[in-house]
Amino acid sequence: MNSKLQTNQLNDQLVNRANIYKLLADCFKYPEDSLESTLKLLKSATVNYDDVMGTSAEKLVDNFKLNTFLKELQIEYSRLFVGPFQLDAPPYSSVYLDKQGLVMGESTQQAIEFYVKAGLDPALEIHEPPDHIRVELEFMYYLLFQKVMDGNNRFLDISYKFMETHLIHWVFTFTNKIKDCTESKFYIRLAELLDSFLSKEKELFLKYNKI
Amino acid sequence: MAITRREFIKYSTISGIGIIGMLNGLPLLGALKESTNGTSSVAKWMTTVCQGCTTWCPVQVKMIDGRAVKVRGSEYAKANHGKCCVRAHMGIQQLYDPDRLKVPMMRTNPKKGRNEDPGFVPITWEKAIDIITDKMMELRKNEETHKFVLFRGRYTYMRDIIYEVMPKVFGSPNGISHSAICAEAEKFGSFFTEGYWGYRDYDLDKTRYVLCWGADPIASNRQVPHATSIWGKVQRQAKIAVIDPRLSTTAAKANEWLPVIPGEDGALAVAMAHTILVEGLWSKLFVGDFKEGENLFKKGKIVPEESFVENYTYGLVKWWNLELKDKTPEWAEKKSGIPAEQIRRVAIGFADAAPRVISWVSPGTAMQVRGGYSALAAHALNGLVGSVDNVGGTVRGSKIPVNKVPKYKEYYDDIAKAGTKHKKMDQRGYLKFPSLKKGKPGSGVVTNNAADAILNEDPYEIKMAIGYWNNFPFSCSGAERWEKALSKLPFFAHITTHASEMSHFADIVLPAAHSMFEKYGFIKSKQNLIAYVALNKRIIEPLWDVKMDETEIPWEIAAKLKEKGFPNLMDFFQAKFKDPETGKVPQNGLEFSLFALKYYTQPIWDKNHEKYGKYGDAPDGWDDFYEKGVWNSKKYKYRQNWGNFGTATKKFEFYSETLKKSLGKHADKHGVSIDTVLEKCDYVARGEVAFVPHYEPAFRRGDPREYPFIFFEHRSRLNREGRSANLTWYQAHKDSDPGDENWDDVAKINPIDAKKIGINNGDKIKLISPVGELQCNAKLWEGVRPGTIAKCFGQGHWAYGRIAAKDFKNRVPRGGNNNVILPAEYDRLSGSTARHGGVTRVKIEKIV
Repeated sequence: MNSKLQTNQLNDQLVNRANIYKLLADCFKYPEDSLESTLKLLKSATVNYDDVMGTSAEKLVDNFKLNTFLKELQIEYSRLFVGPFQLDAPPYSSVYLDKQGLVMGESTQQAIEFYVKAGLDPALEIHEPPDHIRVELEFMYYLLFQKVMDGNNRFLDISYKFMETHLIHWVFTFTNKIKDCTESKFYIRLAELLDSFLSKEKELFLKYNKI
Repeated sequence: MAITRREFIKYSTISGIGIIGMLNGLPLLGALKESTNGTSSVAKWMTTVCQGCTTWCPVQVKMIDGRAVKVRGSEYAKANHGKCCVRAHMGIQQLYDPDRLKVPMMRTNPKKGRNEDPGFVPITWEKAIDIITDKMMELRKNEETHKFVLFRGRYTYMRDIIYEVMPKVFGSPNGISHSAICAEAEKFGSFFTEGYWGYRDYDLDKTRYVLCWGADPIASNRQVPHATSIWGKVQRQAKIAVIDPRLSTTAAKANEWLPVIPGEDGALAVAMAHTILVEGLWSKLFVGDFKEGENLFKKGKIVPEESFVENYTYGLVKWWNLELKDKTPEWAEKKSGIPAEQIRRVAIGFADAAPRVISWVSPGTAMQVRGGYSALAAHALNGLVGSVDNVGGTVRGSKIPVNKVPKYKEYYDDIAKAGTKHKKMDQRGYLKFPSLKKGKPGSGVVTNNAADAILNEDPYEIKMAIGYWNNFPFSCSGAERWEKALSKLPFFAHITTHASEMSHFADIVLPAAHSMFEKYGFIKSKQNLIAYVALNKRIIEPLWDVKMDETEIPWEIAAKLKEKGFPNLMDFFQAKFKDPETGKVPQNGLEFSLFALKYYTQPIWDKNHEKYGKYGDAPDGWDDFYEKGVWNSKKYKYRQNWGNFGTATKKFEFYSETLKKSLGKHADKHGVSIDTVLEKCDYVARGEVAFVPHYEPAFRRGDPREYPFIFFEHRSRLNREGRSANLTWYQAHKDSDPGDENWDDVAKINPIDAKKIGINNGDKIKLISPVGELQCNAKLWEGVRPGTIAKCFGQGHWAYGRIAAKDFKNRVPRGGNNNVILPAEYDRLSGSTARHGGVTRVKIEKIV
């Protein structure tokens, strides 16, 4: 095969992956009006990337009607990821990875060390612990962005390490929690989308490690 | 639908070909940012305060990379000398609990009730304060500012800003504290004998006998770290006797355990006093003696008053004649269930070892219906043997030089002047609520009655409330009334770390900074004869969008009120809380909090202050004081109050002229006799005996034929007040409370009783009282006497978190909340909630 085409295809893959990470990260923000455009872009990115995921994303987007849904989504988002009273699906790695099930555990520290290695700080303005799903997905976006823009493998290496030692160890439990604790089709579909994306990601890094 | 141009540019991608951010060449980051700093992993111990109980110990927290990882007692604290108890460690689990309230939230479902889902959604602080201040301005507009209430819960001494100044300058008299569900009746005992309305300190280092009235010092409040670390020494040099219906941790290690029938503590106290007098063991130095030398205290015999000369006490013979002469240990055995021989042995042992002895009165004995008198009698024993204010005995606290809240009345406008003239809303001072705090009728809060006051709109309707660090529908007996009252309350804002039962009825919930890690504040306390000030500090960068309850939130409210045309509160804050070092006017809530802290503690750290260094430590300025986080007083000076007790007679009163005066004032106010007051307030005493420590029989709800068991509750070694149930450490170590089980909430039943009613270990049961029922598991345990059932307070949350509540969706609690079966009863003379003393009987039903 033409190596330039191969490189372009790989690059396209990286671009799509990066975009999907970023857009999924933004789907785990508190739902506001901007969610609609996020979803549309997510649909484009997934359709470009993988048929199955594309169909999944289509279902997510096409059922979303801003006016009627937003308030319900806000309440459901709060119930799942914010509280009060309790979180049905805590969106933090340490709740799943650390024995005590608290935030700011050892695994949070592990995530922070990855960020620092890549030259980043968690932005305190979001008022969340640094291992919030938003932050970790955005981190993956950042690493792939740097790879695309610089061609540098250093960030790609970090991304695979982060996946391998951290992200995949908790995110599937998290998505299962969402599916178990909500009746909202939107959040179930979002969880399924995140599931299938990260499953593909997992395959990718397994392949990468064999090289 | 088309993507807007703004969104297009924001994402900088066309049909998914370009990477997001490509057009700018920069990644589009919202949750991360590029940094040039590395991080260091050097560990640092930082000082702060633990408020897990009201000992309020100075502690240190080990920080690594901004994470709190471990706790120890503060090395700078002379009182707890580097020690802390298990509660302090649990603070970290509280801090990092994922169920914490993270952001202000607003109710979207207007209906209120336990089974209504509030539908909380996140809002900004700006919006939250806007909504709250709109309600406040509405009350101003209608000149109904008195219909606002500030419900105070766990506080620091920055509290006056939110609890006193904010309501009053706004125009409401209603700062309503939680104190009456805490320990006020205990203070009643020391006030009407020695003129001291406060917690005592105890000279454990030098004591020879510790007589614990419900006190469990090595497990629960107060002074646990000091007590635990010195208890070995105490055991070697002293005898320990514990009066407690339950075999507590302290009782298990004591020489004597007196498993009193709940509510009959007063019988023991008066019988011990009788014994001490009959045996001639009172303190001749402190109390005095018979002129002729012969001991005329003989069972049943009246003694002529003039035959005895008192030194530092007053009314001893009156007391004997009115109450003690017939109260023999044999008589007390029938009431209390404690063998006469043991009563006599403990009384004589106590008096023999005197004056280096402690009669330690705790809420277990005091917070009962009529418990004020039990506290009076139990504390009077200290007076009898001369241990009060003395070596090895009970003492007060050394002077602590801090500033009071600055004068604020000049900031009242006409609305505030009119509004604050209304009486407080909790009905204190009503005929049935004498609430004689510090001797002044109607001055003590009647916290639990606020629910009834709201429901009955008596004295007036309440339209709006703000509460902080409290959870009255959980922590107050007759809990259901609070659910009703809060459902009725038109607007309620709750400042809390965890959304709890009380939050469930709120319109706005506001995330509070954690008192141990995220807040500026200070406390005053004492242990080990050292009084101290310790600083609550913000030692971590808060994870969530929290604000400091007592300072930042009032600041935000004041700022918004000023915008809306009411500037007085902000004017006061900016005028009175300038930085004492630089004179700078605070410009935001954080500066205000810090400057206020500096202002309050100025006599301690300011070298130019006249009180600097006079009463204890002399820190090297603010920075040194802040770093060390604690100021220690000089050691307590023994006998400093002898001859000048703050009573009507200046003596230690066995016949309390002080109480007589107070009761008289209250009776006069209502145009009735003192006897009528006593009758209306459920006391049995009439006439002169009301002014001496005397026996009042236990008061119980429930017909024994239908409710065969006396129910009583107790505290846990692991309770950070009511806030531990969502912590895994609490659940996993619950069996450190004798008789309790891990990950469980058990009713402890004597095996003899259990056999009779066919209950086995682990059976699911209902405890049913005349006012409610709860579900829990049965535990057969010999540490409670037959006929009684004990259950620890702290579990039974149906809200609070994923561990504390079993199934929040269906409002199923984990375990059972004692306050659902406890009726709302009071020791009315002190205004205290009566949660102890076996105030209700129960029956047991097995759940099949």
